[in-house]
Amino acid sequence: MPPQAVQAAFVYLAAVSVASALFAVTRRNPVHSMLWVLALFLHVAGIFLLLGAEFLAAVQVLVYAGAILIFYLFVVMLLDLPDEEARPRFGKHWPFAAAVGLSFAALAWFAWVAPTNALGAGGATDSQAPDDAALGSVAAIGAELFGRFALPFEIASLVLLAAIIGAVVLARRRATAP
Amino acid sequence: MSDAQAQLLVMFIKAAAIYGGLLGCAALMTLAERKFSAWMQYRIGPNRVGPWGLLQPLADGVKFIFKEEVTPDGASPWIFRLAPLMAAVPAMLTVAVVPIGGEFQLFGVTTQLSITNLDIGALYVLAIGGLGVYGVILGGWASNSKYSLLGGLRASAQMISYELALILGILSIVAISGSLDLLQIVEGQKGTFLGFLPDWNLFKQPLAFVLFVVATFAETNRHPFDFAECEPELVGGFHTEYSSMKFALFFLGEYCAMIVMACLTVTLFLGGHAVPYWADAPWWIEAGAFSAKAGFFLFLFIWVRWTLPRFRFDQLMHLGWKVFLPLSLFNLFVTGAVISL
Repeated sequence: MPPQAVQAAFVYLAAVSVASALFAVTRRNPVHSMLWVLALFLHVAGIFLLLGAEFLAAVQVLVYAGAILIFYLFVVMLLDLPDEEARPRFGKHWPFAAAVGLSFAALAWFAWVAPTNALGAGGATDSQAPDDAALGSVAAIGAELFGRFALPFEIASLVLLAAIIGAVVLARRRATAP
Repeated sequence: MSDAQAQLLVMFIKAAAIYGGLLGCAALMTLAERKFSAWMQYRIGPNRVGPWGLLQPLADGVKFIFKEEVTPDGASPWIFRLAPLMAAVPAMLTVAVVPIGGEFQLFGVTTQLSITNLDIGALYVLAIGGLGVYGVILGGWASNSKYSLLGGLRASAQMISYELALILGILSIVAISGSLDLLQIVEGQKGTFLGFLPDWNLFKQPLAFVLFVVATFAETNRHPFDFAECEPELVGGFHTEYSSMKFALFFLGEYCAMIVMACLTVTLFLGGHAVPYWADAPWWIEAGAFSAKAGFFLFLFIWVRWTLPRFRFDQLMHLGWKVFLPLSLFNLFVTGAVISL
């Protein structure tokens, strides 16, 4: 693709991502929010594609849009929606949450503009990023995931396992109560 | 005509041909379903419109267009309209990566008989195909009807459960062929196995094949797993409230999904467009071989529907989680062990 086309595609994807993220938190109807999140996931997958990370893009759609969001929808569909819509859209602590979000955004911005960070690694602005196309391939990610990062990867799976066990325990307790 | 123009033209012709073929097939499938069911039940089936009722799908289409569109009270208008599209579009998108035939020349451009070929073709099919469940679940919810909601919930629970078996089945194929590229997977199945069998993955992965085929039935909500629209319990399931072309879109999506699943089964397990014992067959013979193999699986969908009774929903979930998931994990483990030894 010519660079202008890539640029235009990125601007479109980024703008729609931000807009749908905003819609997702401001809609009153939770199902509508979910659909905006779906739009967000699909556009983020598009950004991954632009970066040459085909595998990440596919997994983004497969896991987040195809599985996790479906389970959310499942729960939300069984809510009492008129009751849900009547409640105030934001909880009392929203200024605090906004402050946390803003400070993370500031941190990201700082990490991006800083030439080197405290750990001594290069910031994203210096062009020592390794060569693109091969980096996003399935083979490259697989080799990294099961080679250099095998231990962190397995630890992350433990977190998921804990969540599953937690869900089973919660469901069980309710079932045995008279 | 310059080279770039020729390539663009070839691209358009291929896309038009493949999508025309897909939609034509989906229309014919509705007729085939009624004809085969009629023969199995000692009836005649539709025979009034055109020879052997061949124009029946056309007549049905015209009828759908002229039917009144009903939107139920309290339905969520936008989502109600969006759902049929979300059911039909993903199934149609996935066909883009299926390699239907080998290389051929058109206007001086050498090309493959598939719309495009991705390095991650198998993942693409799973990712985009998995979005089809949104049509079902949103259609069920937006109709504001308890039958629709229950149908949508059942269908989505079922599709998610069996997607696991489907993915693990594909993974074991990916493991033995070493690529996610569907064309590479087909290439790896040319030649012979044990000297006399065609080198199809079917013979190397019989367990994965059985699990995969059964999972495709559950994924497409077909008998004996059609709980989404189980008439005695749920009227029409998630599309109870749909009428006119919106209903037709759901139907179209369902038949397109069946066709895509049949194509995928053929590509992964039956050597795709590879012709057994004839390595360098011309592309149109390969396309014919592919269609014949896919046609068999489409017939299987109909054959099973009019032969087997329906499961119960708890049996379905039991089968999916307690039988299929462990079996497919076991199969993947054995595959990995054999490869690494």
